[in-house]
Amino acid sequence: MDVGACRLCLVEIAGSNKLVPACTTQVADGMVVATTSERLQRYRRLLLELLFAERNHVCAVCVSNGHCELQALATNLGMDHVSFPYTFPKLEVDLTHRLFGMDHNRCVLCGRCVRVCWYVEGAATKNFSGRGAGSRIISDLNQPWGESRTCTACGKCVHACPTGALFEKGTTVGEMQKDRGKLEYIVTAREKKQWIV
Amino acid sequence: MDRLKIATVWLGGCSGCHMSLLDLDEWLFELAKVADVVYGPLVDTKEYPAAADVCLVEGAVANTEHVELMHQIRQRTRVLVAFGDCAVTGNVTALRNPLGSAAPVLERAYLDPANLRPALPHEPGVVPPLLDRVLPLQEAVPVDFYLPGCPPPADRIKAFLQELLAGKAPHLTGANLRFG
Amino acid sequence: MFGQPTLINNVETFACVPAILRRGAEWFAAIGTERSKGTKVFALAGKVKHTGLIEVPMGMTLREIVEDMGGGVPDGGQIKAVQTGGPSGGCIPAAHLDTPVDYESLGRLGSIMGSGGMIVMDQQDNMVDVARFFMEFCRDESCGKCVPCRAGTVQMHDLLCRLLARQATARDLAKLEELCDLVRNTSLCGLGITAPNPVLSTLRFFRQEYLDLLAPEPWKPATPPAPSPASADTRPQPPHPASPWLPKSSPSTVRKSAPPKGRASSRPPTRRASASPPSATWRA
Repeated sequence: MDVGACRLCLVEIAGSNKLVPACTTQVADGMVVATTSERLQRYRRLLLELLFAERNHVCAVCVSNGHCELQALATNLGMDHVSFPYTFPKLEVDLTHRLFGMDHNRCVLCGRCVRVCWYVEGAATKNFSGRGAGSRIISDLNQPWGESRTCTACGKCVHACPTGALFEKGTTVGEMQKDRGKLEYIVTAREKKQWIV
Repeated sequence: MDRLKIATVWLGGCSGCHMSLLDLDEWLFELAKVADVVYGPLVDTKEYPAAADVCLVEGAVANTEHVELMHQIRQRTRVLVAFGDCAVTGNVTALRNPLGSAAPVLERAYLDPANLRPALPHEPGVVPPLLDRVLPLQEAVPVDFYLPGCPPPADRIKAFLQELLAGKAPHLTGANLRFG
Repeated sequence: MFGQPTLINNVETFACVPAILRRGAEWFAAIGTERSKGTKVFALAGKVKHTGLIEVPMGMTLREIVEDMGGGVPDGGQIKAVQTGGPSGGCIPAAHLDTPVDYESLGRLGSIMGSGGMIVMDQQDNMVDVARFFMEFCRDESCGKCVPCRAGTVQMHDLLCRLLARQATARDLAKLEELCDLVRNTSLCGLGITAPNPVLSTLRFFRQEYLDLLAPEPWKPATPPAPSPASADTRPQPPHPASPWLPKSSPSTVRKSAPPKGRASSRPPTRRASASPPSATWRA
């Protein structure tokens, strides 16, 4: 379930000036696709820098340090610093849930938690609120997560989350390892009736 | 060939990056064959030299003294290196930035917990005032190279310095580029 | 509609229909230019005597609209530029006032017909501030789904604010142009793709106003020592990144890095709680 929101998978298609996200573009016969041109790599790095500058990503004190998709992207794209001024927004940490925490400082607004909650778990607890830079992930009607009456505490959102924004309580720096394989297992089992571990 | 003049400075950071530098252990002898440490917490020099070849800057720019020192260092240094995550990103030192100003931090440290005579430090010319916003090094002065890590492991520092000593522009990749 | 293919662009399209039905398509098509036919409604505003909604035939010149219909700048002021197309449109300088208002001509000047906004600016208006105003609008209207629009407009707006506060350096201006290119080429929808337009068009025609606001690099001496043979080589210089930096006589080129920043500009976030399910566009 891809949405083309982060723009990090933008590719060039021969004959078109427009860059398109690979995740939402259907391949076609004879299509010539460039995936790693100098221009694309430059754009990707800048987009990544925008993400880092947008919220307070402090790898050194993060539960996902060493197991973070955002951190890994930075390493892979050769991002040795962020060339934009950090915005340092003041954001909340929601620790009201019995099992899980949500740290908005580390959220990249990818929406994976929302989609897994709606379309895999079917609980429809997570959602977006606000717009632009004021966008936030919320629970139910923008309530503390712990007061949600729809959350089943399944933990799928935690494992879908690419960063340390969603985490299991009790984990400390570098201890939160996400297991996306479990989510894929569930979806494959449900949709294809194949129980592949 | 002239001996290389290396300076190090310790701004708003925990000194962990300098500890990591000392973790170079016996390779420090190799370094000492070609370079002198001319300034920094590891040597007793009061004034930054008129000209240095390389300066490793640990820590973020957190007070007015740091700003003035960095302006001076930028003018007097050929290769400026942001050394460690605090210099590169602000890191833990910049965790106070979302609070909006230095006041909440000072009040929490000097007023809230004080039993006797709570007062904010005020010694013009002695205690430099905190900036309201902690700056990563590149937001204060142009930086030539970045050496991330909290702290950068000794091997990473060695790989970086070896390239510099060989006259190349250091280019860290893969695991050597990881923040945190 | 009613099982038939239907294209409704907006209310303006609707408003044209009765007149076309009454007087015929040929009559309507006879108005305007070869490729932009009919009439166009503008919301004329800004430094002009007669503001309000006007309907003009396509191809009328900007000068006829703002000077004849609008009555020109009040109190004998001089027109400096006309902004068309709404927040993501562009500023057309007074030198191009004789441009006919049609889709192609506006496009050539880096502007658009857009939402039919037309704002007249006089010599009192600072074009960087104009760009900042429109960028603020684009930033606030960004839905937040894609990264370049959501975060890029914030950075562009902050940079424009710092320019206006005379805190931005030449490196910041380069960063602003880099951002314009990024946001225009990588955004998901039209809002982000056109968000850099106010900056790009004012940079194109009023670049000097940006340059006039630039601050010197704070770390450099205010008055650099006059270059003389004796002092030319004493000041250490940053190395060229690609060249070996030993021995000491390397050329001086400062590597590009992030701009200095004095203080974070506080920006009240707009929050709107919503309990609706994610819209279909958020799915694949």
